[in-house]
Amino acid sequence: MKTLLICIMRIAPIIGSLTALCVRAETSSEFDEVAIRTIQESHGSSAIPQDFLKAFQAFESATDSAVKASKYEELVLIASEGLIGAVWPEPSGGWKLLEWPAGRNLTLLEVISQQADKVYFTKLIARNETAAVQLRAAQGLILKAALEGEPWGEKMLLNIAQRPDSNLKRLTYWFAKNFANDWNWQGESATGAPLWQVNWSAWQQAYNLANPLGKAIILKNVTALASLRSEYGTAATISLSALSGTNRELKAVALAFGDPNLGKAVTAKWAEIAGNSSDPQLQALAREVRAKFRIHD
Amino acid sequence: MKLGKTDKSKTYATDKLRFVVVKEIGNSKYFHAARDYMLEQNTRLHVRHFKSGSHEIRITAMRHESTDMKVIETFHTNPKIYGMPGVVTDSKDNYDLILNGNFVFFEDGENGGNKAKQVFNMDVLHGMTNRCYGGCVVGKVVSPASAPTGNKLFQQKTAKYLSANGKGTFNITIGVVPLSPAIHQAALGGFGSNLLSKDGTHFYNIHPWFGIAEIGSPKEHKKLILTVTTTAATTQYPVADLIKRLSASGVPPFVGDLEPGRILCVAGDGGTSNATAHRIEGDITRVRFAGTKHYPGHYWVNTYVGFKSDKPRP
Repeated sequence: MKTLLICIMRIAPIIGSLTALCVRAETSSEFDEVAIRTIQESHGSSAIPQDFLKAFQAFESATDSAVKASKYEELVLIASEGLIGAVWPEPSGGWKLLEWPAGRNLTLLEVISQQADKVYFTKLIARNETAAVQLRAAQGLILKAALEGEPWGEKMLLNIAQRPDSNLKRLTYWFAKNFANDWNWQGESATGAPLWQVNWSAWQQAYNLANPLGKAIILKNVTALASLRSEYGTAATISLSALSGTNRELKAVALAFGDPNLGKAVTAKWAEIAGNSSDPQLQALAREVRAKFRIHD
Repeated sequence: MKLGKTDKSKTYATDKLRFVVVKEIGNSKYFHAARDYMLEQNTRLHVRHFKSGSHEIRITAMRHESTDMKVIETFHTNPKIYGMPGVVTDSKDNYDLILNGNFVFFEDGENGGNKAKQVFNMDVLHGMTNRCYGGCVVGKVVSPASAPTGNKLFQQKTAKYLSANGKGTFNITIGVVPLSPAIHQAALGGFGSNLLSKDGTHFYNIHPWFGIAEIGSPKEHKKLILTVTTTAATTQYPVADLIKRLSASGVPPFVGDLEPGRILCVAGDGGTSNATAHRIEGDITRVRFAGTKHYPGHYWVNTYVGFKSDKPRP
């Protein structure tokens, strides 16, 4: 007897190719990127700056997570070589969480990276390649703090989120995302020790007390941490709060960093926004997130 | 099935055709079906996505006998190659599947070295890692990226390495990549087979997994090279369940592994190092997912694994 294996797989590869996505769009730069890399590589071949070394040693030797957070902030400021402490010219219309383009809808990917790309690739803050290296130095450390997801990183992030707006806070909003996404980057340990206990009440409290910029910082980071731990309660409450509020930008960020595991109340909000034609921009984002997770009515 | 006159007045021959519907990984015929798909559709690669809740993974399969593996090292090459998009461009469509490789590091920060310099170079200056745990052989030449000795578990005799010497030779072996002399055309070490931690929860999440499935009777024994990768930055697929499913579908136990219960499947570097590029037959190989270490804004990783497979028919 012949056996013919019929694969339901036949069309699956095509579907897969359509839904696959990269985490960052390619963006053209106003900077001479080769010049930036040349500057970076020349720094790398020389001795490490003494002030950075001292700050790093202080960070490394600290054991209390609050102290470590404070020392790490110093490290970020040093790496920026004064750029964070400088007065940044405010863009016309002020600092934005998001900019809604005229004549077209935003995509989820744009919500995630729009403002970060703007700062990274344009002369909004850094006006030349040397300043771009300084900005990127601070940016890289901020991103590292988020991705590594250690207790001191949690303290730093939540602390910054609750402060009045500042250059450091803006930098954190632009570049800190997906908290603890690299938490096990150091790889194999003999014990396979689980991640530290997350202080979820601190996340909730910080979200409640934070202004929109601070709330956006938390929204960009809390879902990944919840996902890593499979502990969705607080993240769901935070996401639902943003989706139920009146701030359109926060709704957009909550949609872009959404996850169906946040629960039915959250996905019901997605459906509600997707069905609301009075705000076509948000409607499009809600439809995109539902399509991304293949949620159908 | 009958063969005969169209008016059904006469039957010349009859036969029975059994249909086996294969839907999920975990089905004992999954890799049979994947192989059948490639043979029928004349494709080099089989790609299928699976979801658990909102978390999605991508499982690829290639016919072992028709597939070669190469190691791509991006730091010790001139010029350096930056990120998966750079690797895809540089490889000029020579691979059907490219994944990021093993665990990598910046040499100054390891084993009691200058950790401040490591952070400065990687995170402040957005440099590229220049070493990897385990050996790295590119074209039978030992890459300077190799770091086969050290105190990391990736550098111990219990670590695993990938190797190939042409089509049909891909293998996963326990130990450290032979480097004195290099005996493989391509080899990359420092992979882990402890996909589950001791408390039974996941250890590696869906880092790029590389494995071998075996199908068919002893007479018709065939092997497939498989990979499992993420499709999103925050994928947390239930690893224990996936291991059971892979095992049920034909991924054998890892013979010789000291820990019982491990399957012939190993993990490389994950998190934001994750990156996958693959071909959909008829198209060029494209980046399907790449984490932040493959784009400007973070440091860059320096090891990748490329697979090239032949179509079943010209």
